[in-house]
Amino acid sequence: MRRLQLPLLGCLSALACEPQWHLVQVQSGRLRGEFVRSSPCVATPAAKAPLTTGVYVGENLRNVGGDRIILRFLENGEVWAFLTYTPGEKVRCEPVDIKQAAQRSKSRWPKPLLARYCAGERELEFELRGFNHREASPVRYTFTVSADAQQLRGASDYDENIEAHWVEFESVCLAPGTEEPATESPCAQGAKDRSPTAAHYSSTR
Amino acid sequence: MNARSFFRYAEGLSLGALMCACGEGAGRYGHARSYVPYADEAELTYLEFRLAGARNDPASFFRNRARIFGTVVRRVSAPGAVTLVLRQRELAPGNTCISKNKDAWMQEDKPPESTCRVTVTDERLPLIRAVFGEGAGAAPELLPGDLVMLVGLIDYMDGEPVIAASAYRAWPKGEFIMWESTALSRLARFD
Repeated sequence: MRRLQLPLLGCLSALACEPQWHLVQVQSGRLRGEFVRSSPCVATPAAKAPLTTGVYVGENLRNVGGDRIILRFLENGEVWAFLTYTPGEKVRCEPVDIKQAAQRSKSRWPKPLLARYCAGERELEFELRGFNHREASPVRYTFTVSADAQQLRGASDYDENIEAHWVEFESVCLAPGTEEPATESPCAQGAKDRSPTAAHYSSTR
Repeated sequence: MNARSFFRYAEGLSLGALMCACGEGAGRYGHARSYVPYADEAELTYLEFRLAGARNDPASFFRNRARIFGTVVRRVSAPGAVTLVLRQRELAPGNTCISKNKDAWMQEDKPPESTCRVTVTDERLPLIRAVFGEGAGAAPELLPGDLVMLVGLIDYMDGEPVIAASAYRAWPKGEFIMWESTALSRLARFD
């Protein structure tokens, strides 16, 4: 068969970025979550510079189940996807406690979802695992970062023409323990500085 | 097999453009209380395509025949081939028959089969790419929003699974119904 060039598919990195996706299980008390990591990612943190801080939001940026999500890229190469609360479409500033998140969401998927992204030049690719009804479904995202790093354009398995723009994390998050959008000092300083890592969990591979 | 053959599904040959489909009284769009496959379609064996499965286990999916229902998102033409981007849809257990009498279901007054339409759910499923090869009339002239059922072999392009379409059946808007998946489970149905 004639090979076609399918845009936005495959690893687009010019830095030999060849992610290998595998499942990581997360245990917290009786609750268990799963996320997908990619490794290895050859790109160095320096290559991901445009994405080291802040988060990206977009009207048409949604997870597998259709909920709006917010993406946060960290210097260590992790990407966190936060499901938004409705109404308000806010996320927690510290959504790293999987147990708390699971309790809040009852039977819903604990949030956030985590993956390590793979980036080169201004292209990045990552995969998140969500649930559509009861069926686990990894979702692949592929984006191009704008030259000023303020916007992402790309697609996922579920949506085309995704556009997301950079915002301060504090503008879209709720202070811990609150349900309403914070008006002052929305996030503890610790939340701002802390990079959530797998160390918060006991994980097995 | 019925007298009329509606499918050409010889993978590796030219695409089987849909021919007249008037068998079994349900018409080409299958106006019946349940989904009526074409004769050739019913005889096929195939996988129900799942993107995640095809990605995770290419060895099991590669070159296997798959079937997929989807609504057309867009059509991408390239030299020698056309790619349809489809929003995958789930075929509902039964077709939907619409009665003009709102109390018909209480009176066990079933609407005629002519009112029945193939039904898919609006469940959020991934976008799937189906590739149509060369050949006169190979790629269906479908519009965004049309429903199509494709049969083809699973192939991989740049590591991503696609369906190399070999046969299709299409329903334009108005000839199928899309229900909310949650509402469908609650719906009193005529069957």
